[in-house]
Amino acid sequence: MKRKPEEEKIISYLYGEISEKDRREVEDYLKDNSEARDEIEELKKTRELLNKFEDEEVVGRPNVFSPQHKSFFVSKTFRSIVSIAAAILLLMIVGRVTDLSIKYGESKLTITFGDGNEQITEGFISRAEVDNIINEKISHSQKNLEKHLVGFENRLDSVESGAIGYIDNQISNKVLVSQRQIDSYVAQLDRESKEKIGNYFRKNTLDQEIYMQTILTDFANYMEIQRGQDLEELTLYVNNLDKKTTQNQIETNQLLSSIISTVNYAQGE
Amino acid sequence: MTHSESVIQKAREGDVDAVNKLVSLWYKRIYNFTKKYFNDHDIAQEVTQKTFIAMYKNIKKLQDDERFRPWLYRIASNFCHEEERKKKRSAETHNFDGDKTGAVMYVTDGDETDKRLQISELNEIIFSLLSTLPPEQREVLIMKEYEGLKFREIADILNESENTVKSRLYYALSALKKETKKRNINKNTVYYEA
Repeated sequence: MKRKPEEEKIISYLYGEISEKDRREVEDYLKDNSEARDEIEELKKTRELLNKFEDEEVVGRPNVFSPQHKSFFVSKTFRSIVSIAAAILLLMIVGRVTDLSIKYGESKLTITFGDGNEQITEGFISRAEVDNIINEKISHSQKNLEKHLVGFENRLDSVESGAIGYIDNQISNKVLVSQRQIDSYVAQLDRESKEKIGNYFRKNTLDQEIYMQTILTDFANYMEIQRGQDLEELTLYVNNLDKKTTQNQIETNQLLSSIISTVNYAQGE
Repeated sequence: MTHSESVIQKAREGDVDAVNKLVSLWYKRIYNFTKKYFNDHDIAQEVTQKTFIAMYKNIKKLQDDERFRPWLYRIASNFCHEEERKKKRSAETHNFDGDKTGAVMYVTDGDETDKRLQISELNEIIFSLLSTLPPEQREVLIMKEYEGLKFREIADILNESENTVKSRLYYALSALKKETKKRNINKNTVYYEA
């Protein structure tokens, strides 16, 4: 009995997306299993039924995106042409209004406005005159330039010498000031140090005196206490000695009494 | 569905005419995909339009022209899921105890009824069958049966394994097989009704 192929293989077989090996496995199983064959057949029929569906036509599909065609009337070319035409038209209107007339002849350029009574005429000048004018202007410019250069050099020299003097002065001032400041600072340090050392010694001496006084006081107290204790011990010792002497005396008396009585008893017999 | 890759190329470069060409080539397919998913003209139209707007905005990111088809279906599928979630939330908000067989999809207004009259009875039967499936099975079945996508492509679109896709399809077809038996829908009745 062959094992039933997995669902995934059955589906792959049904849709024809299956490897040759898996296809043989499914077909071998179907060959021996009528129930599985029926199942596959019914799945195929279900698919056939589903495929009877007819897709709907889309009526009035919206145009989602409008192409951005640029109109000729807003294009750059159109704008350029209109600008040039407008400029020419403006010139024509101005010319017409002012009765502008431009003439060239007899080595003259004649520009007239109105009826031509007032004429602005510009005659031509020769090449030599033009050269002279240019040379004059150039030599004049050179002179001016030289004059300016000399003045500039003088000013530069004066500024330089002034600046150097100023810098030297500043440096020497700075050095002097610095030396004075250093001396003052050292002197101040010296004073402060001396003061600090003096204070230190004074304080130290005072501390030592207080310390010695404390030690002496403590020692005197200690000696006093010790003396009291010795005295008490001595007193106690004397008392004990006194007690012992008294007791010895009593015992001696008793002994003597005993001896006397013994002697008397012996004499009586 | 075939179209020159140069159209996609031009669309990627910002050519609006090329984008519109793609829309005209794919609108019917995507509309019918979403229509089968929701069995609702308005939602299908909305989701389709969202799909193409997203396509227009994101086509520059598409790196491989050959992957345009699964890429487009992935966008549509994502919008379908989003719409499905909205419907669920709406049903929960209104405390609507919807029929799990999907009968809720047949509650329509007058205009919708008029539109439906123009659709064949056979399509209605298939719509009603599809609507009995859970969304994830319905989606796989539509992609495979009607859109002709390969298992690998569907797996890629849904970000699932091929075996998961095949398994879902198996259960979808098996469920439809049972449903057709239950309703006594067979070749003869279909042809009669069609």
